[in-house]
Amino acid sequence: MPQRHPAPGDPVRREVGLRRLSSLTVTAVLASAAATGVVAAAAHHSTTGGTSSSTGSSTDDGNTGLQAPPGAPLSDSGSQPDGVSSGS
Amino acid sequence: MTTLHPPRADRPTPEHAAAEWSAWGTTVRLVLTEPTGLDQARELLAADLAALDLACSRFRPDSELRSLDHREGEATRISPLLTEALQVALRAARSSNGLVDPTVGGAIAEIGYDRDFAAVAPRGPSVALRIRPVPGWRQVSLDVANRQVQVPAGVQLDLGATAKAFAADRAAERLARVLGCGVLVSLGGDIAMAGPAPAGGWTVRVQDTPGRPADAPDEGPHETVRVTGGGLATSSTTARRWIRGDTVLHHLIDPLTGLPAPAPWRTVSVYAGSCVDANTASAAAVVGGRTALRWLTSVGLPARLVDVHGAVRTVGGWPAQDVR
Repeated sequence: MPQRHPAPGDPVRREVGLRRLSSLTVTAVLASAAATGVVAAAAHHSTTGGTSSSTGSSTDDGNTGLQAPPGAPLSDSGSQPDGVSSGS
Repeated sequence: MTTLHPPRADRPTPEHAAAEWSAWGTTVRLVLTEPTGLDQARELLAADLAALDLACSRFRPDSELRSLDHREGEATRISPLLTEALQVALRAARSSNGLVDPTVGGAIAEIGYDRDFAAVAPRGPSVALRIRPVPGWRQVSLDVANRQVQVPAGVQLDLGATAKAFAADRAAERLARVLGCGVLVSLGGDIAMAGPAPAGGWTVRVQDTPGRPADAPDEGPHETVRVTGGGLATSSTTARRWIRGDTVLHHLIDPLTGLPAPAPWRTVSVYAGSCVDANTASAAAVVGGRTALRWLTSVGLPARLVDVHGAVRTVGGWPAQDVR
């Protein structure tokens, strides 16, 4: 069955792995070059209604299984770094 | 638990060995605490990256991942390496509540990122930006024990969100085991550390723009931190950007819209027990937008977020900001 493309403001029902979110309202506003210079799309999520069979963790309870680091990072001003983390 | 590092003045003069080269369209940096193993380590890392590229590349027509495009949902036996990479990608999707989704391949190709980024034209005519959720990671069925995967027809996988971090973790662990020394592997800013850390820890600069350790950026908030292991990753909308018409696009896709994630964050750095987990959290934070601070706090990972105006927020034990 052909998939209907939602227009801005359309409700979108979709499983996205969110235990408590099964009815999502996606409102997207596209504009050229906002102050950020990046495409401006405002996603708006509504949490009302519906049920979900997802067994994934929720956004709220922190139960993601992501592994904690061996310790907190410490500031080190002035050192020549071993590496650069820059998100390329 | 917080690890206490000795004061910086106690640190011995580092005798690290480092090598840097290009692969996967980005910079590979390898640092060892024992200089004698550098040549061997470099060969092993280069071989690892070549094998992963052949298994996981979205851009190589001969890659194993691309071959799945033509299987029309049929169960397909795959290599151990692709099995592991897919397992990592699906775990990232689950861990991030679907915000880091490997089924964004079609969406990101549609807006122009359909080849090695170096070959993507920096500017071009307008493209249709359609709001269309991606198929969703739950559409992918992976049987790890039998190394079989089913990808529905029309679903294009993109492991770009996790493959570099997976490669960095895998290589750092392997090299530390083989060489018996401390190892830092950086793939385009996704950093994994394994083996004994140098006295005082590894120093890593976090920043918006790509760069070499010797070249501090002229602009933008940046800072250097010391860490002892695990992984540190940064996701940023300032990297891998291209322009179509009047619109600036970037590579971090919101699965709910199939479009580049909107503001408020332009860069998020996270420190975690592995590079994959750090990168999962940093990418999820950018895509999650306004929910990111709360979510990062709830999962307890140290993180540093830069908003689109350059203001820095830190959570989870990341040191207070030091904006320059």
